[in-house]
Amino acid sequence: VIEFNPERLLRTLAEHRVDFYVIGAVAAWLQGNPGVTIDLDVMPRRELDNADRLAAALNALGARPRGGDTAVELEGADFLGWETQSFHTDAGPLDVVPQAAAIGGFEDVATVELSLGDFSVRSITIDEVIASKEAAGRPKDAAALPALYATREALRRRR
Amino acid sequence: MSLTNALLDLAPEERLRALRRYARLRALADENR
Repeated sequence: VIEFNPERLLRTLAEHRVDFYVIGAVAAWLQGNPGVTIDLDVMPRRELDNADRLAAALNALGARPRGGDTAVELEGADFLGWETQSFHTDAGPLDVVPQAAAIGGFEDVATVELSLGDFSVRSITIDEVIASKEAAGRPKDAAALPALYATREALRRRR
Repeated sequence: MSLTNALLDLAPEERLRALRRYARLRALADENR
């Protein structure tokens, strides 16, 4: 059974002081959207010191590139490009996504801070999740949109 | 009550733990298929 422990993943990134935002389905779930996926997508700040911390966090999680079984020693230079990279870790699948359709990268997106008990993370807003899914255009993204619109409305009514 | 409203009634850290439980149940269901 593939373990998916998003709390451990996020806590490890936070403990390594990685600057990142939660994006994708987990970002939406944390804001009340029931559409789920069993992997965590994060958007890191693309800068060398932060890339070093991200590599250290992923090494601590036993990350290995998806598609290969071998753990590799990651280093900061692995995270200076713009391409998405997918990993299996000891706490579940994790994608590193430096930029996403329609919303851009770390410097571009609107975010919200979410307290997770004794630590906190920043997530892109539900509007940004919707914009990225609308632009991505894959069938699974289109299928996720009605629930996301409903969640956005529910959030507005509560504010 | 909708699942969205049920989730909104939880603190974010409780939503995170609910996601882990959901993932475990789904993985078990996949294994038993």
